[in-house]
Amino acid sequence: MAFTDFSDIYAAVHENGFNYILNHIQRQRPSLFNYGTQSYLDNIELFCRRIPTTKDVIKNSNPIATLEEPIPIAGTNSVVGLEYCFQIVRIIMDFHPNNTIQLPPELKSEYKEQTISLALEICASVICPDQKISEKLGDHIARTQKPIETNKKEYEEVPRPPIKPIPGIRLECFCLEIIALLSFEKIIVDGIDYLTLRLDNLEIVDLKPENLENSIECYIKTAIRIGVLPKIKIALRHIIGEIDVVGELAVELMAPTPQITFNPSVSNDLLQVYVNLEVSP
Amino acid sequence: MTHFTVAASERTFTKLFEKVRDNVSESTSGSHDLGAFSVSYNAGFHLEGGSLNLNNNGTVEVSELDIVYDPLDINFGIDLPKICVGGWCILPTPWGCAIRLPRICVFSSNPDIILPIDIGGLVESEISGAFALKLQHYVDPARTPGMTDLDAELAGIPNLLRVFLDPVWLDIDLIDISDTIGNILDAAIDNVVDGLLGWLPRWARDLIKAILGPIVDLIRFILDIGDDIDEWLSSLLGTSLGLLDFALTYVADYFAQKYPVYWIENPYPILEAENSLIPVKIPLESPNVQVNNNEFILTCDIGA
Repeated sequence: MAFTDFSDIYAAVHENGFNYILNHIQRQRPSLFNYGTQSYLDNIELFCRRIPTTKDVIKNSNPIATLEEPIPIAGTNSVVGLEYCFQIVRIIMDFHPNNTIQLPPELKSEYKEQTISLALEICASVICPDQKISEKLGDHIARTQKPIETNKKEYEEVPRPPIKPIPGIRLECFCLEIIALLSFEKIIVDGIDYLTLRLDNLEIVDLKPENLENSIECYIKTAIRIGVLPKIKIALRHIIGEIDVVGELAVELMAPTPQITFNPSVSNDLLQVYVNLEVSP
Repeated sequence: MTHFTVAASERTFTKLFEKVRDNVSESTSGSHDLGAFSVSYNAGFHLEGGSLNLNNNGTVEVSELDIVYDPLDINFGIDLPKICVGGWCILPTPWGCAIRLPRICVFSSNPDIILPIDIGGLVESEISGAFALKLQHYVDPARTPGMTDLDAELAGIPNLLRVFLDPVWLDIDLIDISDTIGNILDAAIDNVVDGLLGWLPRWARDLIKAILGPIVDLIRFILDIGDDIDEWLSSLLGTSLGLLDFALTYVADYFAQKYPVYWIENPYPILEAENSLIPVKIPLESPNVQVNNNEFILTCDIGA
């Protein structure tokens, strides 16, 4: 059977190759995988793990981490906050069938064909103010800050100043193992077909109590869905190479057929796409 | 297991080939002294038609690919025998000639006449052949040694993996010479003779034509046209001017070296540059290309 029995163009990426691609993205666009407040960006050694980058990232003054605001301290009306860093330090994908990543029982029941297993290791730390600084700051706030306004209208009209970080000492980092289930989907942006990843579910390995685990999982899921995955969209033409066949033909992901039921398809450890050349009207 | 595979159906590969074909356009000019006459020419050609088959032996077979010669302007320089008329005395007297006809000589230059014919679009030849796939790692000559792959990408001169069609065998035939070419040639000869002798007085023109006989036939004789104009033109374009060899060589070089049928940047930009962020590029290693009777296939690994 030929690759192109049912389409004009066929392209496939093996999971091993895809993991190399992820590794290249991690090194060439490190700001997608590393987040920190100003002190971390000013002093890169504060990050939990060394951030691998290519020389081109430095040469072109690309950020090696994304700048974040401090985490606001409750009760301070977001005037001050704790500095922190968050890193995705390891990322491995296992295309269907699941044969390299050990799935936790919670995800095994959800695992189905076309699914991608994802193993992540994330690390984080905060800069914790020492007791004396916290107390001094408390005294200062007690003397100067007005009672917290609850009038919503007034709150909206007054722009909030940036959260000021409280100086302190970086605590030891903690790292978590996360297993997730993903799937590929097609999106169209400005008329161009892109492949992007959708996070179906994730589990943190060995974190207790369960409610804490659920809350952190919720945060991480949201961060991945909103903060990371939308930025990793790969144009379809980048998967098939420069099939440059002049203007009258458009490259389109083929609609599923009885023979090709999924497109893109994740099976046999491969991401496969079936593409047709359509004559423009 | 290979990391990356892309396959293009025969229909798609044909589209890729057609794009290469439609970009072929070349011109040449030159002149030759062929003894009895000289010839200069200005010729261009492009490709049309043709059919393509992918073979299980790894070759791409192209049949009946038409080479259309347009423009095809040929100027024949013909040296006619010098003829002088007149100079005779028409009123002799005992003291000599009172009135003498003027002596008029024609065809004293070399060449005496330039016979231009424009047969652009009226001559076609046909190429058939088989090509093997040839993979080339291309580094743009404008890339300097200090450039990184990203520098080259940003300068618009990235390294490329290019797939060319390398001729295994090629054959060219002159296959179509329009029937109208004989008439065009005769009309051109008439035109040039009338223009050449038109300045002469009627008596002199008639006399010269009478001496030379049908001048059209004379020119055809000098050009060695004979009865079969197709054979004559074929020999002229193919053997004397070497146009067919030129076209064949150009087409072979074009497919084999100038215009790839498929290319891919290497390292390949998998994520585009975004705002000030550099593109994410992945190195492609151990590339391989092949064809079978269904499709064209490129495979490679992704470097660590």
